[in-house]
Amino acid sequence: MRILELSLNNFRGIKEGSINFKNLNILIGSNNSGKTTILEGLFLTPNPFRRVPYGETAISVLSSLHSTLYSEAYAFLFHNYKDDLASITYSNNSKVKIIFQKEGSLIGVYMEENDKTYFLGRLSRDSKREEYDNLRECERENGKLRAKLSLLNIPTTDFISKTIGETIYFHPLLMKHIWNYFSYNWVEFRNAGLTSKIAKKISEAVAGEYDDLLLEPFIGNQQAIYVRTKDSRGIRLGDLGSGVQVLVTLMLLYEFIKPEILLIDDIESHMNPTLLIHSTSWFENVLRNGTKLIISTHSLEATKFITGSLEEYKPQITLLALNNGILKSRNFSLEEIENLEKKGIDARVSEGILI
Amino acid sequence: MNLRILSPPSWSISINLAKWASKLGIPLASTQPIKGIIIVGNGIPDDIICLILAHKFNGKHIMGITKPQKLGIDSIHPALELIKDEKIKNLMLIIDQEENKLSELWEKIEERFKEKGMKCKIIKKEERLHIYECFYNDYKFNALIILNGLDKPYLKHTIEDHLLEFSKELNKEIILDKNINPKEIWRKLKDKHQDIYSNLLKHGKEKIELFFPQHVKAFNFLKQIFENSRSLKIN
Repeated sequence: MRILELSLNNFRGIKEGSINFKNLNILIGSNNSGKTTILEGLFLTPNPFRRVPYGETAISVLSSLHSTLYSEAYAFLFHNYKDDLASITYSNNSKVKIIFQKEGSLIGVYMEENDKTYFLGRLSRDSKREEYDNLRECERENGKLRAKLSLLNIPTTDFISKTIGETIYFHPLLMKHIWNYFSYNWVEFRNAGLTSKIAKKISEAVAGEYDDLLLEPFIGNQQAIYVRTKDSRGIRLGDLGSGVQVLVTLMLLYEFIKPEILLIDDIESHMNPTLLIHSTSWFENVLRNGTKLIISTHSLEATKFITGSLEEYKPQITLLALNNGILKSRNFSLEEIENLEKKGIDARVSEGILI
Repeated sequence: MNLRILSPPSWSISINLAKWASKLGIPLASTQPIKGIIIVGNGIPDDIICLILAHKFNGKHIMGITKPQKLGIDSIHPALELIKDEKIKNLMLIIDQEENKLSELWEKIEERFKEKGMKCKIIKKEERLHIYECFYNDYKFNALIILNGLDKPYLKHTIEDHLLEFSKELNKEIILDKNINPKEIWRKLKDKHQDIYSNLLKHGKEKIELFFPQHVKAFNFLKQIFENSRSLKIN
């Protein structure tokens, strides 16, 4: 089996560290232990400037997610906001490395893959400005990467690393971005048969029989997403509860993009155990399609349920801890987590003795 | 020394510790590194006594605290497995004496260590406190075993022996019927628990040691280990 590994250097809260993956991975650990940073690293690796189904580039989505008040600046990519060089390296049989290099008030973004280094674009350290056009080849000058002037015939936003393939990052806070994207591309979802397929799947998870998803005006001219009941009534998706919205959004996103890796942050948030059961049954389809699934959670119940139900996919539970920016991790099987519990140890809160 | 809860949040030991830590104004550690582990074999209210005593020995070091699913002497095996698997350097184990004869109980405890392949050398031996230096292959750890109970004529010897004697000291009007299970009497004093714990927190170490001698000595020993004292004397 291929060993999939992600290494991060000076990237966000992680000064240094690496983690390996299998086909199904559950990341656990205290708050600020690096779970989200790992997911975000994987989300950026195929190319931070590619267009993702949130109506923006991948890097721009993360910037919005991290902004507090009006602080959308790309300095957040560097550890402690002040380092000069950060990198994300993903390896399986081959390797891809994304490099963020401080260049005055800008950040140059480069990708190393298969002995080639490309210049992808630039970001502003102190604002949300992005600069990109087509890929460029690079050279090293005094140890620093420098873009050549000539452009390659590949638009940066269309380029994806072959080593990792497309990755999709789902966080409940991104739902509005995703629904904007859906509304722009609604006819494609509809004509691909995805809306009816997902409406039926949702009927199994909640009390109600639905046969389609609709994008129609609500009051006045405001657009809303509805589930259509068997008797042709429309119920706004938002009125079915946050958990259902999460699952519908995730399903549509996945079915439309079919990424190589699906990254889900805080799976348990908004989800009643019943919905978690249905989500897990859908995860099996995802895994059967060959997609790798990496999920972060604070819930031991969710961890045990997902890994127990999807045992045949040899799930790996990874406990993470950050100590002065150094990422530490330890992999567990479900059995090991349960054995610890018999001894009175909850792995999520016990990295102090487990790592 | 403060405690860090290692058991699942839904377990009664976690709920109880969080509740009393808040009521008594004792901080609980969260992500700080752990120097050792306290296993309370009989759970509640032993955990509160640990919370208070650990706080009295106020230092920057952190001990993890938990209770395995098995009770009393049966909690020794899971505790030792944890020590062995996770290479923990310091174990404090607190269990009730109950109706057992002390010599027989110590024999049983030492047998449990042998069953797990651990060789232990006793470095301090008191009636209800044994301190061992233990080896598992090349791995060395300290095991501090405390048996709850006092030389008082209670039906069963548990942590309540200590709490009830302390309660009596605080309030002479409390009459203890020694023919009743001390746990039962302690439960009946439920309205006074906060007052008793608060007083325990307020009193000096010397006073507490009168009522919790083996516990105070064990915590004192731990403190010496953490402070890297060369001579590990027990006062």
